[in-house]
Amino acid sequence: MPNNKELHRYLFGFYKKGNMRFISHLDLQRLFKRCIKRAGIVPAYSNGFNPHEKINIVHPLSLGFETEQDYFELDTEQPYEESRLVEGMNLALPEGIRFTFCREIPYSSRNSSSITEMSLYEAFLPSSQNLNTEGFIIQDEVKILKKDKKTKKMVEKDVKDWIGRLELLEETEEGSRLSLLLRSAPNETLNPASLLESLCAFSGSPFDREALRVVRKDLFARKDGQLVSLSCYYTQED
Amino acid sequence: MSNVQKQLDKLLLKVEKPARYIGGELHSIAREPLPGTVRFAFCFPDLYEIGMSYMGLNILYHLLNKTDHTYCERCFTPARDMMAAMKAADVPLFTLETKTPLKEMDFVGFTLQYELSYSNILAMLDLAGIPVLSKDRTEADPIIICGGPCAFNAEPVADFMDVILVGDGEELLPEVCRIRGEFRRAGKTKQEFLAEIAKLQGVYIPSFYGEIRDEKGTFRGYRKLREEAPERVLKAIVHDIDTVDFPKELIVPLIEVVHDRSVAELFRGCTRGCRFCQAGMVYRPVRERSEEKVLDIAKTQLENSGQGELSLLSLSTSDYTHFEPLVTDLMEYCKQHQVSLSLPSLRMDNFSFKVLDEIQGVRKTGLTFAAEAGTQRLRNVINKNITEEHIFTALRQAFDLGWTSVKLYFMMGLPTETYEDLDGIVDLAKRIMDLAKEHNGGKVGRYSVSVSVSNFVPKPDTPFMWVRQNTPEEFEQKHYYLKDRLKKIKGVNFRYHGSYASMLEAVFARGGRELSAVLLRAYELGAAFDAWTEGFRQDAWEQALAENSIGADYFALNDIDPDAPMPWEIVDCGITKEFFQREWKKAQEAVTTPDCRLGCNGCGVNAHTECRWGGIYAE
Repeated sequence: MPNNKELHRYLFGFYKKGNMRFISHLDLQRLFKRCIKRAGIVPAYSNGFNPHEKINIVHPLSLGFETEQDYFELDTEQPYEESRLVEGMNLALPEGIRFTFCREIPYSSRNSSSITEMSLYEAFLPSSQNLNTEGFIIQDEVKILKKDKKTKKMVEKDVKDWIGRLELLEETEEGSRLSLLLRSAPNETLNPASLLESLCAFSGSPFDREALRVVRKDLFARKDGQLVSLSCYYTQED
Repeated sequence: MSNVQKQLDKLLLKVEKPARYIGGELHSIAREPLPGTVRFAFCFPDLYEIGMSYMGLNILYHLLNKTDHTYCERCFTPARDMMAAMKAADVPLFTLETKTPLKEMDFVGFTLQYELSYSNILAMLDLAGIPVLSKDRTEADPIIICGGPCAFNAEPVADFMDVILVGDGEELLPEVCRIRGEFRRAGKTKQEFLAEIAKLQGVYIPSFYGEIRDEKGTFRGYRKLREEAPERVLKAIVHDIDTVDFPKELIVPLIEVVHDRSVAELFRGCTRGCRFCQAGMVYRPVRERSEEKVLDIAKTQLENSGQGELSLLSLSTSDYTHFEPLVTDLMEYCKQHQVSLSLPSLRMDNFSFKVLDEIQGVRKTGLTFAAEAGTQRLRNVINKNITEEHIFTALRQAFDLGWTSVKLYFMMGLPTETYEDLDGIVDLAKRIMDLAKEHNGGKVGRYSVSVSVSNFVPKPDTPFMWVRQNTPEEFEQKHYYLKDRLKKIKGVNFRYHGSYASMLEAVFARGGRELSAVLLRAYELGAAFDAWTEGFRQDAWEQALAENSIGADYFALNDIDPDAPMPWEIVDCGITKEFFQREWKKAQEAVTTPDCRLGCNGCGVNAHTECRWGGIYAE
């Protein structure tokens, strides 16, 4: 099995909306594998006893969240025309999920997940009002409840450094709409739901996790000190 | 957006696996139906993951949606958490495609795949807000219709059904729907519609018949209540399955289901004549699909879906006339396209080994033998023509080729069974392990034998339909007997099923209309998902049976006089009673009946359609 010899890597953008927000990360992986087969694309395979397709969904989204721009990487041994890849991959998709672009990016042993730093979200909280975002952010420590990976217990954690932006966009009788730019790096991920729960508690407002609607707008990486959308990250290096 | 969809948005984050309820899969058909379209909800009374693995759903979904008169959507039993959430939020049961309440359908159709799914039918009707009893429904309610293998004795659910379809549904169901549309346009009543379709072969309208019972309450037959109703309902038969369209675009589930794969049906029916097997009797005669069609279906399905697995469907794969060339072709195709090929119910001959060795490569799954009984005598009784010589010849070859895990399937409580037959199971497992050790320098190592035992359930329309089932206590004693002996053999593990659930299965397999009341009561007491060990409510069933003064022994645990009238005899499965009686007599003498292809055994099905197999391989 050839490894890393002249592999091609393609970065796809996709959206996942409506009822498709209930499709889990694992099911999305299975879906994309079917798309690859359906399109007749030959993916590169990993080495080992049980080879699997070299694919990567960059920074998986929580079940129940929608996304306007998420990313998927696919490695192949032979080169493909980018527009044909998008066309082919879209053949076997249910309504609500579509690939929007594809671009060949330089192959590297590190994938785009490892360079991603932040996610931009928009959240709508029905029945939550009078959210004190400013007071919340200027605290010395912004604490949330987070599950400890080892002990599986809920522990308090200061995530102040993981908040890039927390902004109230609109407040109506129906609820509050917020924009959040949060850390999304390997092992350092701030889930918007946890932060919003903490914000609501701080503001003395009710929080209904099941009614919360979250849309991810984009993922960002740092380039020359600036945060740029992953979709633009590679453009100069081609 | 439909009302249901808006309500759903609030529910789905609260429940497990919300994707069970969203629809939207590739090749599912969501559309705005034209005015006048007959609307059909195909309901599988179990979870999405189970129902979506059932090929019959895809076949009928495809055929109905191809017509210009009917729009077919799907519905499954919501899991208990979703049921509770829907009840609390007052959300009626809906179709996955358009989120339309079932109550607004023209037909709500249930497939009866196993008896232990019956309580879920009630749960679904209840959740849909549709009166569960046929007699309580009005012109405004949908017509409740059912079909599937258990329709050969649907008496236990007869009170809930308006229409029961018996036999092959491919031609009959679209025709029933078409007539419904025509009658509705003409402003005719439901009763007029039922009277019209009662003339079709395979249509059974339970309300057109009344039971006759003697002074002791014993069932004595049926009385026809309507002129239009036939004396007996002959099953519907598709004479040539090559002429009916098989779907090339299967619905591709978004979540993992039990069988997530492309499927091409090879043939219907079976010529082997195992005496316990209902499918092998009621789906006679064998009708094959042509090799080109199978190839075309398989390849097109895979191309359209991108699925990574292909399976062939039939009761006995190796019996397909063009088995070798077909499988050789498919293997080549699958290899080229990185698709894994799965071939169920193979006979273990040289060709099968060549195939299995090639398709499984280094990652070999277990080798399965459905021996069904532990001694040759008992295998003769049940007419399962597999011998120890077959098994051991195959195993020697398998161990040489690198297989290390063997699965053995048995049935327990078969007619005439004694503890000698159970010893036969232990002995077989032991000798297989001995052979394995011989191959492995005297050590058990990675080798394993898994013995899986199910409880025999007598089914209508089989030679064993009159035989009593073992009591739950007898089953348990036998389980312990085997467990004690098998655990002493290193490398052998043992699995068995719950006895009470098997008894219920027998009760509902052979029971009559009096069971509708039991079902209703058990449902009220909390029974649902009875085929699942988890959450099985034995107490509810015990109470429901007791309150209706029905001893399970009446249906499950008593031998039945072969000359007495039986509730299921209202349906003619195409096989004569004489054949079943003859087979039962031979069984008691441990005499086998050869495969039909070696000589016609006179089951009688050729009175209704052409059977091309009788004696084709006769010397």
